[in-house]
Amino acid sequence: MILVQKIKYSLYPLFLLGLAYLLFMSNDAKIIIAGIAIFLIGMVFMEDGFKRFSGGFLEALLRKSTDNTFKALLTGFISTSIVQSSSLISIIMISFLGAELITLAGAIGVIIGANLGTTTTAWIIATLGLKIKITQFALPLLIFGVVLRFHSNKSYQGFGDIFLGLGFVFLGISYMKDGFEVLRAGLDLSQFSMSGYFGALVYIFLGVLATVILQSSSATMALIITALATNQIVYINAIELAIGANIGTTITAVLGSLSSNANGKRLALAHFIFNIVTASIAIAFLHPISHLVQLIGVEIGIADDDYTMQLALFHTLFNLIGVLSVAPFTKTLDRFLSQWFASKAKDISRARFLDNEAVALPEIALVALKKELIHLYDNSTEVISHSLSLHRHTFLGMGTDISKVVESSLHVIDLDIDDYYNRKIKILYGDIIQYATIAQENMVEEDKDRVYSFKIACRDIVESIKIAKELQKNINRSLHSKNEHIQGEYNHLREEIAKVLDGIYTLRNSKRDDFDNLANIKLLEDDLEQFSSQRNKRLDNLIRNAYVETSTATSLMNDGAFVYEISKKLLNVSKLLWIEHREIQKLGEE
Amino acid sequence: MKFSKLFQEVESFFENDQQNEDDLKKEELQKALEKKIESIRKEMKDKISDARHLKLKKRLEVLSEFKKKL
Repeated sequence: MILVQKIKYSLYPLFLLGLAYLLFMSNDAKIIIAGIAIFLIGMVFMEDGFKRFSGGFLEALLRKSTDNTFKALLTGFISTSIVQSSSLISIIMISFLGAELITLAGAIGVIIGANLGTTTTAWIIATLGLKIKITQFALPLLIFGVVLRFHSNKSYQGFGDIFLGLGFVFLGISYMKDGFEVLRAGLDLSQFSMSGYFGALVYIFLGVLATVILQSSSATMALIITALATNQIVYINAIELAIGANIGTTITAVLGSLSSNANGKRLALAHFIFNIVTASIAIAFLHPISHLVQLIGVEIGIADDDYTMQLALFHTLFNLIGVLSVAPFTKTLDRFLSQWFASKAKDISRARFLDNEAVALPEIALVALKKELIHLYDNSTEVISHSLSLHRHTFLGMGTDISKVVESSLHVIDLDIDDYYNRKIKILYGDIIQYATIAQENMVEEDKDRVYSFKIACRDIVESIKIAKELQKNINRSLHSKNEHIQGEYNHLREEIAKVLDGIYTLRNSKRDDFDNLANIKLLEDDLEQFSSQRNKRLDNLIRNAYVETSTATSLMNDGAFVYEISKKLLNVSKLLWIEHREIQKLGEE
Repeated sequence: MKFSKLFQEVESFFENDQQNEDDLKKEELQKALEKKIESIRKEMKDKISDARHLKLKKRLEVLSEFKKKL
């Protein structure tokens, strides 16, 4: 990775110098390169625009439609055809995998489908881009794009970005076309055309090189189609360049994934394997496929000399052949890639679901944050239970009489809470807060509020642990107390928290609806109030009858308040974590 | 029509649309809650133990409270 970066950085000044020389020396090249630059910035705007719509249709579609290979392929195809960016779909897939929202096989299916979706770009360029005067659309799109971009509403801004993106893409194509037409007057590039397998390898390599430099197969396709439309390259070489573009896009993805997590690497390699298989088939059967394109072209009304449309058809057809060849093996790929890139052993002190790729996608970031908060909650139940000298497996979800479990659990669990906090809570807490703060930047107000409530819940969990530490000392001492009143009172306190933990455990695993869950939480809160009032009465009785010393009585009062505080905080957290519907959540607010 | 006015029109269209959607969701929630309350009332009329009756009574109180708030 470091070597790749070093090569990249050392070549960059050379690339800039070469580019400057080319722009200075050739006016024609300047127009074509400007067209590419405008096209690329258009793609960036379009991708940003669709990202602003995260939290809605696109993620919902991608999440729910990947349970079988066919649906995953179709979803990848449709979503990429709409957003015109397979890299955006890749980012979403990697973040979904990070948040464990879909399986690797599902993500591979989507990525393969996305490859077919990118072929719609060639159709758009070959039809809209070349058959009509495209600048007539580009300029109004840019104007509306700018107006909407300055609106305060995020959705309007999203539309603005998409309009700007489309406008720039159209404008870029128009510049490329004009550039090639002007260039043709002075230099006929088609004289460099090559035939045979050697020629094929040269042009495939050029296609790869162009895509690696441009970092976008769509831009390369635009370049190829406009060059073909102006007869600067011959049809067969255009096909070879298109195959090269397909391979080039995966090289870019593989290089990008070197710094990514295991999921990113798995997906990039799946993409690479797909494209290598597809390209190999296309090279091996180049002439039969070209012949097939002509046959289908005649059937669907593409003229014999309409090479740009034939190229678009070839691009679709060879990707379709790739899909049909690789799709049946997605599950095998899943197994192979999961073994090849094994995930690191799960360290409970570190975040499991917070994927950097997802931080810019609000809906996924919210799901990831919620899962991580549940992870933090689970860690906290361990430390809180142990601070009460209780093991979770003895009472959580066991349906046993908790008071009896408490009475029989007299063995002190000597947990160093400070050490536990530093090892298993602090880092995770920090990871969540940092991620939440970064994620908020890309969110609308409503989502920001949700993240804010997640942060509060996080703080509540951590504070509960700190309070449990205060409680632990007196509870441990009470277990060996010879005063049965003291031991009895502390057992009541242990029982109160254990009942809350058990109640939350039961409701989160019950699969009941939100109303039932909230009602259960409310009933637990009522029980808590009742416990509190009974405890105060008992305490009065103990003091009045001098069953305990005054200093012990005040400790009991303080510890009772601690128990109430921990329970209340955990119940508030559970409202946020296990009640999905925002309106119903609000009913539980005091 | 001035451009800013056109924007306001479009914005209020989207906001009204959102408001209608929220109202519909609320109505659905009210119906679901009402159904739940009814089924508890029905169960309370059946022959059940005192402990179960008390449990249902508490649950009914909580859900009725939600209904008032919704």
